[in-house]
Amino acid sequence: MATFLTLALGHYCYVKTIGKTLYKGEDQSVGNTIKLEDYLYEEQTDGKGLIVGTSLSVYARHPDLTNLSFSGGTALTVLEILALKENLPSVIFVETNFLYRKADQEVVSNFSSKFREKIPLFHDRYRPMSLILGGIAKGNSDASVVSKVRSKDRIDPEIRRKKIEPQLASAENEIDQETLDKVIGKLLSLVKAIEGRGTKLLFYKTPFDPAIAAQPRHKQWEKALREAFPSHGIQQVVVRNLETSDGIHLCLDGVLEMGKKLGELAESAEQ
Amino acid sequence: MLFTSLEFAILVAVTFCLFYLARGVAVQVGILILASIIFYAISSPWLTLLLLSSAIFTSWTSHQIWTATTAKKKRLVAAFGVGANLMVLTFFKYAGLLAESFEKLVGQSFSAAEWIVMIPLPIGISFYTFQGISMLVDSFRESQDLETRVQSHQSDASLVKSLYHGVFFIIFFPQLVAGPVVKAKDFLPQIVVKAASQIKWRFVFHSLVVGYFLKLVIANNLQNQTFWIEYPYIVGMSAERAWILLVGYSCQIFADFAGYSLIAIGIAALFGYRLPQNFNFPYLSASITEFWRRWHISLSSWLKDYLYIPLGGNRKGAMRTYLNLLIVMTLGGLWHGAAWSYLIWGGYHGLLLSAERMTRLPSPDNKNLIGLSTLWVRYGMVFLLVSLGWSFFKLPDITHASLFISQAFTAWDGRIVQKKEFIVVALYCLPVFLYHLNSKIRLTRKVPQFVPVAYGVMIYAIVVNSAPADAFIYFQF
Repeated sequence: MATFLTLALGHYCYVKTIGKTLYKGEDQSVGNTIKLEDYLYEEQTDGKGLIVGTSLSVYARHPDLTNLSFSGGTALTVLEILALKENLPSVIFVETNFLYRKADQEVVSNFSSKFREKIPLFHDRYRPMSLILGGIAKGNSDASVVSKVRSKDRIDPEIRRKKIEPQLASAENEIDQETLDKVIGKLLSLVKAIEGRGTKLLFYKTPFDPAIAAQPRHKQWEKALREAFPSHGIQQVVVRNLETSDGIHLCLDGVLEMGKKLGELAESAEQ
Repeated sequence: MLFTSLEFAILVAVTFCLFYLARGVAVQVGILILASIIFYAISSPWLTLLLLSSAIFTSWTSHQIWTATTAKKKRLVAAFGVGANLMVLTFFKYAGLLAESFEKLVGQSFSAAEWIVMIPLPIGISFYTFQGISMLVDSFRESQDLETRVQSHQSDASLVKSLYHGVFFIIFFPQLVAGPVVKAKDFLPQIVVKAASQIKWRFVFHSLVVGYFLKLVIANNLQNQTFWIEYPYIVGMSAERAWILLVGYSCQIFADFAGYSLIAIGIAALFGYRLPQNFNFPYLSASITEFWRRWHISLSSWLKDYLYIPLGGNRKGAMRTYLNLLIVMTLGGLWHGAAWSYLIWGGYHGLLLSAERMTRLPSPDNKNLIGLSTLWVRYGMVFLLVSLGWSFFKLPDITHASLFISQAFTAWDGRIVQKKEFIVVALYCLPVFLYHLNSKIRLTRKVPQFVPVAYGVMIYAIVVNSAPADAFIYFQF
């Protein structure tokens, strides 16, 4: 008991002083949660627009946009959480490519808990492992992240071809009608709830390798989405470099350009 | 129902109260049977019928063995019972694999095969059928031996009592879905009235804290790293990264399964039942033989008692011993899952065990520096060989597993690109290695003040550094 209390006290003091901003997510899931904690718990009211997507959009950057894209997750999770929030920005970009995937209800319920919000020791950003990694990564520049992502882009064409194969296979079957109806129904209610507060939702999709884009699942999903939201449409962000590292993830130059384009769209949407 | 869920905590709490308020062994056993049915039915309501049918049938058959008047009849009934259990296991677990393989072989698809592939896999079927078989074989062996017959729990039991206790033995919820594989001869004699005053609280507390720590803090967090050992992510993976992740997976699978076993042992002890130890610091093994004496001990012991020894064990010459080892390990591998990769994994261990017997490596003398160094080198070698074998566990598709292994040996990059991943894996593996190391240096015995500190740290880590609960790896078996 004494050990437990001592650790809790030490942890709390560290979080309130040195560790307040010195943290780093250990994996995709913790990294995703930390992004949301930073956004939701720090009461960011700078009015910046939001990007809500998946790993396809995770490196899209623009000074006027906060990126809440979930690597390895789905934009639907973030939309469900945002629908619970009172203050929302004027524009939210929603990546549609994999929007049919189910939301992670555990994450949604975590963020609807006031108890978790009030006790920083329960935040993922203040987990001991996040703080250790934050301490180690202290001073790591943004350039190192960019260099790491670029190294993923420079892959052998044969490896790239092998990585495309499973993407083709996973999209060769259509989504079953029941799941499709459920997701569309959920999306309709979320869009209504968010737009009811004066926020504009803009759907966009990132370019896929043409062979993958032509797969039945992706075509079916886009058609269903366009039919459900006829007035919204889906923006195809046009970038010069359409090269992907695995058929679905644009190489870094393409994603960075996409970020700029989304920023421009945000400006025109606000006007 | 997962051991890490709130529903499970409620089930245990309610069952605990009712169990110790009840008077008489029959009522107590009835409460545990009911709790076990609820435990299983929440995740698989329809397959509960299969579980109960299997348990009732096996208990009834076991009773028939006891009451049969001649040795021939006993043998016949036992063979019938074992055969039926194996058929159920084969149908539900392996029919899909066999149908798929047949389709691939003939290059044609059949509607019957597609139907077979759709058959659901009942959770824990490998465990409860093995326990059933142990009950039948033990009944057969004990009922033949006059001395044990007199002492045996079942010798004078009525049919109702045999069914009641037999069903309880098979479906007792702490060990129902992932073991430890309990033997009837060890469990049935424990069925007596239990009192709360007999609970060994310290043992229960220690088992649960270490178990939950291993599962929630180590295994679940490592899973978020090792999930990259998956096709297509392994394509183009560097050898350095492959080995980091493989070591991470070795620690994850240990933490996951040893954690589960400790929780099961702790929960069973809460109700006054003693389950066998399942892990004894397996990554400190100087040989593969020793590894299998320390890893999943209850299964190794089951395979030894009910398969290896009946096959002749090591009593029929060197060649037959190697063959027996290969058969036992290959079947043991296939027991884990319905994929050919599990068979290869088992065969790999069978070959290693046979090779070890052939070379007859002497045990290193750990009293001098050279002997001690040799011992630690051998620990390292065994760990690496075992880790390599886990590739077939993690990647059930043989081509993917082969690709991963070839990456691990050929794709040396000369640098660790993913430094964060390396640090995270190392930090989460550290407690597993310290846990093993402690069994050697016995720090917790030499400095007993360290024990409450260690438990305090583990509880704190469970509270603030757990990863979301995920199913235990062995649940799929």
